[in-house]
Amino acid sequence: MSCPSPEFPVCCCRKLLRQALALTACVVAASFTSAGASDLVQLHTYPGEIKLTTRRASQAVLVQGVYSNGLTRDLTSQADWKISQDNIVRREGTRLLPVGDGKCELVISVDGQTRRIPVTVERAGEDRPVSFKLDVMPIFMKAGCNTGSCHGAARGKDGFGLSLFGYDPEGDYFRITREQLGRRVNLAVPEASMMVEKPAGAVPHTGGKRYEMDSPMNQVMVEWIRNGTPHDPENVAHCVSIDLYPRQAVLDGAGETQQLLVVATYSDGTVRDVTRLAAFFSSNDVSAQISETGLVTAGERGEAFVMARFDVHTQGSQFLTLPKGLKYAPNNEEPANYVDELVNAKLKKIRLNPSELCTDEEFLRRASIDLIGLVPTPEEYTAFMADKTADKRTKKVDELLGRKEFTELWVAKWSEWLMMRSGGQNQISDKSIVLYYQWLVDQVANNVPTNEMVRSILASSGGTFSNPCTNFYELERNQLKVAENVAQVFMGMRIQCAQCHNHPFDRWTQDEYYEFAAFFSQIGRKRGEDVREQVIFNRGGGEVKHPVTGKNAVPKFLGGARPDVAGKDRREVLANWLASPENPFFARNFANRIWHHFFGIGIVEPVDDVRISNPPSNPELLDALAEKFTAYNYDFRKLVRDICLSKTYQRSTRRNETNATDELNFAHQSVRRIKAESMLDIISQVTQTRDDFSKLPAGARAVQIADGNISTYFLTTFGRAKRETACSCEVRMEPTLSQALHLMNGDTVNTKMIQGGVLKQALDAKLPPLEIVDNLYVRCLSRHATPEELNTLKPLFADGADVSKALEDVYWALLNSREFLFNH
Amino acid sequence: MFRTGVQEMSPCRFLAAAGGCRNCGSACPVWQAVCQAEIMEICLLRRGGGMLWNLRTRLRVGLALVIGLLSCCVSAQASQPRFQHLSPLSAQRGTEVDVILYGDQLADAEEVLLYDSGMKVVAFEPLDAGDEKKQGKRVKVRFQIAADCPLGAQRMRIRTRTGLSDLKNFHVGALPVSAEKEPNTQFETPQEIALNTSVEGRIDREDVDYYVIEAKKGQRLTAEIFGQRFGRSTGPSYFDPYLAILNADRFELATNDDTPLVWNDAVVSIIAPADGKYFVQVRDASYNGDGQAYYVLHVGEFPRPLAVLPAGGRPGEKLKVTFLGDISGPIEREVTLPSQISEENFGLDVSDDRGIAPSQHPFRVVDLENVMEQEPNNQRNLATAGPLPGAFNGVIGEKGDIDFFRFAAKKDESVTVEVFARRIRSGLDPVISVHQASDGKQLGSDDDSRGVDCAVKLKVPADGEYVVAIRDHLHRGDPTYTYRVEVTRVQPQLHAEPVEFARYTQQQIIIPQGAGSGIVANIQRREFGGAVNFRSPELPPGVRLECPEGWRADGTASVVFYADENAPLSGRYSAITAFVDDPKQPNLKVEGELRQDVLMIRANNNDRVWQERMHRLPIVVTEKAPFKCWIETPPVPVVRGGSFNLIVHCEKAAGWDEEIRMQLLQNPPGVSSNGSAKIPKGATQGVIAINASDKAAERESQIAVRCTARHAGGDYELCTAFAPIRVEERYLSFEFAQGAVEQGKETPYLVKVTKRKDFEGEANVQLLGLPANATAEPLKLKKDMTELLFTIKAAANTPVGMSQNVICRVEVPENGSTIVHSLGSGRLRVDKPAPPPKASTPAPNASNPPPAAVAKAAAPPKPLSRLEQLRLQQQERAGKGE
Repeated sequence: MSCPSPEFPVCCCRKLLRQALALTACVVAASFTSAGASDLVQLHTYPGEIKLTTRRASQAVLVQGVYSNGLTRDLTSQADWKISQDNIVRREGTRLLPVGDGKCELVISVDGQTRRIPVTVERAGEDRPVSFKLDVMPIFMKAGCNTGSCHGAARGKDGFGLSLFGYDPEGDYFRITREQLGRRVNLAVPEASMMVEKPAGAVPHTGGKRYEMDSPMNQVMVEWIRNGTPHDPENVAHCVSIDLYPRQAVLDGAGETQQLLVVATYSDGTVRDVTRLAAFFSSNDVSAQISETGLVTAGERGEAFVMARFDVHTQGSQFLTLPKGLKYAPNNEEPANYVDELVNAKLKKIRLNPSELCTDEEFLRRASIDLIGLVPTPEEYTAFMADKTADKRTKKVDELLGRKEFTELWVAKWSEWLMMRSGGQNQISDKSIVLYYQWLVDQVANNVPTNEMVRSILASSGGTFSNPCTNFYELERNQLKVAENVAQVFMGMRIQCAQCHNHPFDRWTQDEYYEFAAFFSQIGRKRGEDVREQVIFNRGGGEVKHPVTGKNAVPKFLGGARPDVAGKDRREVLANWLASPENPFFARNFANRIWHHFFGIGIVEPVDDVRISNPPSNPELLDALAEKFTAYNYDFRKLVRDICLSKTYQRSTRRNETNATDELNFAHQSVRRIKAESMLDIISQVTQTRDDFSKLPAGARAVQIADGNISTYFLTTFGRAKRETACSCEVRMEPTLSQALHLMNGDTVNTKMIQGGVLKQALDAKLPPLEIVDNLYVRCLSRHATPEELNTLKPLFADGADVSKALEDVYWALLNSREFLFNH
Repeated sequence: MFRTGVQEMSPCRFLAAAGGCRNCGSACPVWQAVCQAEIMEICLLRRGGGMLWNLRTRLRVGLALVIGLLSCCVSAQASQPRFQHLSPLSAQRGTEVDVILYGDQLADAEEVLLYDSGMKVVAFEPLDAGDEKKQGKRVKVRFQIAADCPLGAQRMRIRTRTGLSDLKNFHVGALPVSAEKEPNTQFETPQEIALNTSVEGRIDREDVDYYVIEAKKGQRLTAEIFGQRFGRSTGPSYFDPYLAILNADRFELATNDDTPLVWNDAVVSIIAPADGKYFVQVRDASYNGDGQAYYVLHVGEFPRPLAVLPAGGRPGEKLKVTFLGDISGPIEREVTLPSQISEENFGLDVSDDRGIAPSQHPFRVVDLENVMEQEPNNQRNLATAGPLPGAFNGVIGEKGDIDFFRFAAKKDESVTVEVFARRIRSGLDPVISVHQASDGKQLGSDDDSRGVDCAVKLKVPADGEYVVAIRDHLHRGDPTYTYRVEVTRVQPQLHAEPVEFARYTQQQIIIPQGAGSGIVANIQRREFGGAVNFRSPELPPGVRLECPEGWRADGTASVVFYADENAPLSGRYSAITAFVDDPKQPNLKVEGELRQDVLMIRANNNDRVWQERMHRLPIVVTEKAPFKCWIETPPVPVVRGGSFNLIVHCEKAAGWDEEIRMQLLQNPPGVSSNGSAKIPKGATQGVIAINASDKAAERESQIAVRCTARHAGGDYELCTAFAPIRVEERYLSFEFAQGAVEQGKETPYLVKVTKRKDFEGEANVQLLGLPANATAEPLKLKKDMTELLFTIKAAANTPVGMSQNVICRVEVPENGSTIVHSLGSGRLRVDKPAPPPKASTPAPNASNPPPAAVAKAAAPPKPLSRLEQLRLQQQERAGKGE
């Protein structure tokens, strides 16, 4: 397990930054609107209910207004505050403090809109002693003490180690109070403790001054030490969730601000305002900068995801910054289905207009490549172009969905997800892979619902030959890695970080990691009679030990309940939950992966990195796709059909003024390089040649190669997945120089052009050269040559020219053209 | 014969038994007069004197043999024949067929040794005899196959005058055979074959073969392939056939990859749904295939059940059996079993009016009463009752099925409950548990201790009833999941197998005339212990075997086969019996076979994919080797922790002089020997260094040496006669004082000697393991000395530090030789010289010389212990006023 950086993932930052910059550059058109000119349509107050327990408690209140033009404003300071009773709470700025036990109401009014917040105060006369876990631990997070670059590093820093992001409070307590006695905490003179002097900068500190000596954080620390560094009682409440307010904000131009509020809920039912103790991050500082106190300041146009982290919990809110006074007129195009509705809604929100629909030629080529991994044949092209019916695109999608090649394309995708690869440490035999592949073909061809397929895989028992889906557990035998792969492939999330510490940017704790891994702790393996076969079965015994507590982890669904596994096959229990609507991640994951295939980018991108800090670009769309997928009984063909029939899919790759730089919101189709296997198959298709792949019958297509271990130079160059990991990053889709060079100078294209005899057939048929050229255009690019193109090429076929040679050049040029190599 | 331990495939025309070399005709009078007389003498002596045979006599004999010159020419006849292929590979029984055998070094081939019954060779002719380039590569034979020849593999080797080839399989079927005709790789261009015929073909790389047949509606159509069972492979790649029957629309009607009955081969059956053409597709399961992927495909209406119930019966018994799994339904037959229990595999054929199935069902012939399961028996209290001993037979017919059987046993009986399922080629992966019938308490369970099958050994806790539960490991069930549970009182069992001297190389018993061929047998004893010997009533003429007594009680034993000088060139598969031959247990009668599983297909990691079990081992007498070797009997024992140089003499034929590699056939327990010793070119003797460990067993062992040399393109191996080697406790033990010496100085080094056994004369003692540039003169040790005092001189550049492993090499004289002891160990520290005395120190007063000087003057110094030395040093310092 490796964790490249315990800090905020740079890649994620950059991506969102790019997106932000892209939006920033959008050209503005249409009408001018601003918050000032709009009406307040909704007033939000946070939190919805105020509970103050003990004298130490306090609660800030947030007021946010939503205007008719969609913009929001922080109205906290402008609101009119009224407290129904004086003897319960008192107000200090935007904050309420307890006065006496009882209930009352806080009434907030702005512009005639009123919100009432119930307030409850309990034990107002008591003080709560400072708690290590509740009060001291959050300081380390807030002040950054336990980050990976500071004391949270595996070896600590300058001799002092804390658990990364506080995953092990017991260990931290030990290190602070028992290591280097008398130095870290000085019970006699608390102010002279290192824990006080270092962060406050009173003595030299490599990490510099983290907070002021008189800051509340330091006061808590001093108080705790003065109290004798008490250890929390066994039953001390722990934080079960946090809420971040507001959930969404659309800010009108640079300089606009919005305060955030973080409220933590504890296992004993109490709530605390932890805004001052939460750590804040913004995915895009350029558009929404966030201060240590949780104040967001709008910058340039863009979208940002601001996050608050407290205890082991992270929550995020979406922030949009629009240029002040943006003019925008939505084009109000009729949506084809729910996909368009939700994509358009998002576009409207960020004030973009989608591109127009693509031409029939473009559609035919695009849909063929996406659905069957081949280009349309000249006959298919002619037939489609001749079809004048209104629903011909629908008919084409339905036809392609029924093709055998559609199955093969998705089997190849599944083969990547399932890491089908012979050899390796476990010496997977060729036969295992062939049978596993054949099993997948049967599943996809027979349209077995995805959830059933996944259930079969996860709950599989039997021989790797007699029940090939058991190979899932043979390709990876390490139970922790199996758990990671299951999370990554079937739920789209990378939980690897949590093996060693709580996931820094997601909700997963180390406990949850091992509790999830515990589902795979009872896999039994024995050798079959055939030396190449392994029998996978339920051993009925075996546990995973939590490395920190040393206790057996009790199986618990990732983000779900703790099921009863006594006497059951744990994998069956898991499979029944994982591949069901109860698991919120399953349908979303597959919907996202399917979407990714047709747009080259997922709604969550990368598709297997779902986490709180990497939110979907259009959550409503993803939810809708997931809901549909579930409603379709996990028939992925139906979801594919919805996507392909949407206008969103059928949009042109040409961009308009508003969406010119948008990459994430599907305002236009994207130009995508064709995947390695399909590229080779298409080259073979248009040159009428066959390939000979190792361990496949002659004439098999590249997409049919079952084994990740079998490749060719062409496929490797074009980024075919080696299937060594479950990561979606294995398939490389970026164009490279070596690809271009291989096509131009390598033997694939040239040899195939000669072998296939396409030109020879045409010449034998005595067709005029320019007609042959046009036919080649149709064959390779699925369109006729334009008159300009024909004019340009005409001199090649002047009298006395070597027609055959010239045609070869044209053919070669077409096969090397970007129009051929990309799906557009 | 005892002495002339010459072994292995000799092309050399040494001395023929009839008294002369075949090639040159020389009579070699010296050899006959001297050697053979001596040999007779040795044999007589040995028989009379047994293990007490006088060492000196043997030594004398050995030396006498050296005198016998091998004045004979050497032939360049090929050795180490190889058998690579047969063509055709199969034939119909009841016919005669000409077959070409392909290989190498076959020019002097003499016969085909057929292992199985039902076939004989009626013509045998090496081809291309005159052609120098081609000769030795082909042999033409004609097989006459009896009409009742067993179906399946016919295993065979080729015997030449100088060796024995590897094993190859030929296939005998019941249907006429035709050959595959390419191109048949496309569905559109299949090869037409007639129903009820066989076709012999080969799958090349990524190849698919299609055959088409006509069938009528309702006709039973079965295809069975014999592919992997040929035992062919190319490196780690081997053929794993896959079969499918397709209709004319290309729909698969039946497919099969593996079926337990036919191992990795395949069987498919359909009832033809309509009149028309049906296509049989043959390929490798993972599109492998290479030059060795040969197959015979049987296509016909024959029955093809997949299991038989019960799968065993008593010898000579007539019983009803049901064949299960045929597509037309169960087939009942009455069969009569052979009256003799044999180790050879026995199988049942199944036939009906439409043909006979191409391969047999394995069937157990054991003297146990059959009990059939009585459904319902899937609860403990519904268990089917049977006797002890007895055989319970049944089927795990459906998912989740579990069958219970019940038997009564007496307290303290030892009972074995053994399941035969995969071993009778059922698809069941059995799991068994044994319980007390009264309360269900589990007494034992097993899944995989017999390969896929399982067994439980039970010590009966009390008189009462016991229940056996059997189910599938994955809780599967199928109408063909038959099993047989044999419940017996524990009986001693015995079998042995030759161990492999080199990885993947199985030792063959190929004995050059007048020499030996040795194997080491791994003896598997179950439920007994004691000495085991070997015998065989059917060795080739002039061959005898010897397993010296010293080895018999061990887990592995040396067995050497000797051929007489005049043993005729011949070969035979001989049953060799291992039997208890223990003077301490005269009444224990246990016998078993010496068998060999011939490895035909090996996958990665030494996985044995296909092997042929040989219950009889081929034993072949070949022409003499161009050399003979014998051991010079060690005149002295080797002591624990000591070493000894074993001398091996050889005699080379005139004109032949190659290096001879030597290795002990088997090291005595706790003894190691040089595995790469040689008799170099031009030499007639070599040395094998032997070391005994500190814990080597004190005993006398008979050792033999395997001698190998290159000749005529092959390796010739022979095994010498046995010679005794005795391991004894050390004669002496040494105790070392700890020593320390300064660089550039010397120190006395005391060794205390404790004697265990007397010896005559003086032993040389040498101190070894000293640090660099430190020396100590060797000393002489007489039997009554109790101390040795070495003087260790350290040079100025002897490195500072501790030497942990100072030892003494002691050569104790005995019997004209020496016994090398390695005794130790001690420690020696080398120090830096002490710093020179301070300048202020007054010079020693001449009238008051230091005490050391006095001690020195007082002649031979008493060796001081380390502690005493230190005390002395301290006194010296004190005296100097430091």
